[in-house]
Amino acid sequence: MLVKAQLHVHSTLSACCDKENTLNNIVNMCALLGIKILALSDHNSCRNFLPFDKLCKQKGILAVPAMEVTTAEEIHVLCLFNHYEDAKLLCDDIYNSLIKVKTNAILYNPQNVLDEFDNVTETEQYLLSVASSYGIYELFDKVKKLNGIAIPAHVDRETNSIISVLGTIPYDLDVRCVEITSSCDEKLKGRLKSKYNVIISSDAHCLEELCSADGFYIDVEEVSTKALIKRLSY
Amino acid sequence: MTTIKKLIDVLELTVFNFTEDAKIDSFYIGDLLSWVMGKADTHNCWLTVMNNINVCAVASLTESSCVILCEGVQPDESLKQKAIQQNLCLLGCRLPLFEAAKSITENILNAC
Repeated sequence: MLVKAQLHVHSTLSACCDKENTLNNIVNMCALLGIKILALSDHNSCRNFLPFDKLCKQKGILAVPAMEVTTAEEIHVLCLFNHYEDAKLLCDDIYNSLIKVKTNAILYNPQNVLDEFDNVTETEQYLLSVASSYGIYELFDKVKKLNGIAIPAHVDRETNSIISVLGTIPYDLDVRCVEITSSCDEKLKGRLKSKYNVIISSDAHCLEELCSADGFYIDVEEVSTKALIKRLSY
Repeated sequence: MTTIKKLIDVLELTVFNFTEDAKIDSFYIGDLLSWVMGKADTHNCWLTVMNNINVCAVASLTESSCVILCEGVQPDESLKQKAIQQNLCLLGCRLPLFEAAKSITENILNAC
């Protein structure tokens, strides 16, 4: 069945994210856009997942446990999981391995953990988007062991993408799927499509970006995290 | 320790953006932005080959006095514009990182 998905969205837990990107705003906007599969992928954290999941369920949307991990090489990798518990395991490991940098109120928005009513329940003091201690190979192994999928994010971007940092997508890294931006060069897109599943996500840090990106269609056996990961790993 | 102006003069640096002279208390070399964020002290002079817009955010966060792009690296347009906007002193050096550090040590730090 063909369903509309959006697999890369940031909430207020990401310091570079707009304050308006609260859980209710994201879920309601995606419901309006007809999104059926939605991943909340904050930098190095899935701490907003449980209330997000609750809100998604109310709108008939499948919430995918996810996060956008920054590897030791500063490559952004979208990690999707079947179960929240698996994502949480990685989230805790990653948090402990982050270089501790205090956030700066002038440069960044507060990294807010929210409840289902968008009330702030906690504000993270250390910047979450910095590099973790996991190199890209180690991260891919870890995610695979947790039955998830690691997807190099926005590979056509000039910063924090696997191609900008390593110069290529290494042949010995078990990449099944890559994410590109909507402005990806057609030639690169064609090359990537011949080797990998290619998804286009919004990487939305504000509601306007979420709205204009509009998601993408994916053919899955059923609307479940298992079927999604199976399709993207194919 | 030294000042931006002295660095520009002694190392014959290219000036991409300069607003006012300031003191430099320490130096830091690195290209992985997270490391720089976590380790560079305030009023530092940061030597790097990174030339994208994120350099400006990291320099602001660490309160760097100036940034020197080494190896003859040019700032991309977005970094250049952001540096002007945020009054970040952005300089260029044709030397590789090690050679630049060596030159600073020999001609400025040890010459004091």
